[in-house]
Amino acid sequence: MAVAEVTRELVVPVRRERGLWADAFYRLLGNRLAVAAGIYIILLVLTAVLADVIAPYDFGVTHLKDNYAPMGTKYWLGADDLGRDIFSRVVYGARVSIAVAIVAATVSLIIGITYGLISGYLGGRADEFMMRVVDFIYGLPLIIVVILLQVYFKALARRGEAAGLVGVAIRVDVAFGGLFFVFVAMGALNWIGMARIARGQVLSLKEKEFIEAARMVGASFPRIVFRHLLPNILGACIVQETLQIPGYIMLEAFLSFIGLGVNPPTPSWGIMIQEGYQALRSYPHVLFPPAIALSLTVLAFNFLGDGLRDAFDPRLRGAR
Amino acid sequence: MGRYIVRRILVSIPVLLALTFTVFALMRSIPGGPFDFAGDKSLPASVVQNLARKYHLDEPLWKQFVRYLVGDFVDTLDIRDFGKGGLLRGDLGMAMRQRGRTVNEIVADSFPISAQLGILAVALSVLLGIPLGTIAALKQNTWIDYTATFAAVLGVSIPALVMGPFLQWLFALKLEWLPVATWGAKPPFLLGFIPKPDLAFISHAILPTLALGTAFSAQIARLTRASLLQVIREDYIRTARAKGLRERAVIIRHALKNSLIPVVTILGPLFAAVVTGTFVVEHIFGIPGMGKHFVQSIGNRDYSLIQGVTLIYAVLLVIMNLIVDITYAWLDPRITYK
Repeated sequence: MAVAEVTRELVVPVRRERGLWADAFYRLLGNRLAVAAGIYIILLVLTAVLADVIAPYDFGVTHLKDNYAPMGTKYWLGADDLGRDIFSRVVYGARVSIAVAIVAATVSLIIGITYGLISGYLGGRADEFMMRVVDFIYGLPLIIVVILLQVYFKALARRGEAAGLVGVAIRVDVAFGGLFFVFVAMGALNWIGMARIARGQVLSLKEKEFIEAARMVGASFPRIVFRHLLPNILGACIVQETLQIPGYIMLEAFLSFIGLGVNPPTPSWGIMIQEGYQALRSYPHVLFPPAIALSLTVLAFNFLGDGLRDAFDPRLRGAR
Repeated sequence: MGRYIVRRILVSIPVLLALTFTVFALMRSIPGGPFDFAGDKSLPASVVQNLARKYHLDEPLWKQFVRYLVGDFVDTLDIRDFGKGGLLRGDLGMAMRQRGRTVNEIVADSFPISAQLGILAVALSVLLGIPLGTIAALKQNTWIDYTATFAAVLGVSIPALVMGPFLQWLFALKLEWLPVATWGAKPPFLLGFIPKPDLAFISHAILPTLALGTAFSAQIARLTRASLLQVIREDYIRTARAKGLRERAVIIRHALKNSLIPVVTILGPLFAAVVTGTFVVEHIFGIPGMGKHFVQSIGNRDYSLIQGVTLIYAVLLVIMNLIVDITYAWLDPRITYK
């Protein structure tokens, strides 16, 4: 693989007029696994958006006479303990997984980049202090904090009516099946790695001539950040975030599995795996569809993350 | 080095205290308390009141927290009582939902079992991951490398949540080779956590260890491969070969040791992930470890048990991270701690 690619890079001169992003994009297209993973993820997002059209049944409708129906023409992947169509529930379950990926990743990106940028740009004492704080948080069992926060938010939402902003937040939470707060919490607690990467990038960039030149001609701090620093560190940060997404998806599935996740009957792959696990002895067909969907999705994000990393920085090929 | 370790420990004390207070306040602000239900029935209001008084839940939050830290000193303010009870003394209090049991007893019973599972999983991931990654790197771009690399990505991507039930279904229910659930070792343990390695222990441990350890061994294999590939191209490896060392000595003594440095850095997050993983795996396999207590105590609102278990996990992580950092310095002489 490497040999073939090295020769190709030697023979075909790199077109310099392409920017960093376009360059990375073309390199990504050369990675067949990453492309397949990307297509899978796009299809998954479409599935989540179009779940109402794709799913033959509503996710909550029970057909008690058909409980544990096997795979067949009526229920493609069979039915669960309440006679709910498993295929439809897997389709709707994609919504939760995609939502956690988007919300947690966005929150983590914003906090991490902001923190890392400020820390790296200020440098000196402030930088040292901010990195100490990061070291502290790094040593905490964050998963436990996420679980406790989730219990807290769930109880809060169950208490119901609240006025003003809290009321709006609770309504958003209900729309997300009771998971919105915890998605935000996951992102808000998982920015450590991001902050470290952003800081490292800024530290190495801010001594470069083009930043110095920008400062020399009197560019303001926001201009330096948004015009010069951010575009250059964003690639590395997005790669890092993509590699964290499988963790978010698995954490959501785990929370739902132990009953701290989505509110039933909203389907999540985690809750469906829990149901399949309960029926494992007699009806293993309930377990496999959500289990395969979850594993494939995590696999796809891993392949895409690896592909993106290689595309942005070919020297790191195969690292991690 | 000694001063560094002492400073790290001193620094982690306020962090742990802050965490304890956060959990303390968070749990008490959640609607619902430990005595809302006894089984399916709800308790009469007078009983709930008396129980709340017994566990001092009717006191202001700050007083409860100080009591949690220093015990009855908060009432007597007699200096001779200071440090007689409470967290300072290592007393985690009475469990609220398991009558008559202290949190210390529950932790003492369940922690060794979680530790056994965790140690087995880490051992599996190191013993499987490092050789696999080394072989893949040495046979780079052969079918062996491709197979190992692909298997590793696959392994990383299958969550314990899926792996556990699948292993149960295949090896316990279909093939009936191994027991479906529970843990084979019972206290007392040698040195507090080493079980007797008899058939019951081994047969019960295989599936949970695989469920927990597969993803980690895959992760370590990938990391070892990548890092070894980089190290092999270094000048000192060429020097070692040039002076006529045998290939085996070059790889093991010169390349592998240095390539393990990034692997050690991942051990910190790995231990954290093992802790999370034990929640899942103990739940799936019905193993009476600390993770099971943690998940249960949250549903039960057993305040003292939640606090105790959280604190144990936090202390564990702090110690693990410290060990990782020390190992790091030992492997890479360029790193010094002051």
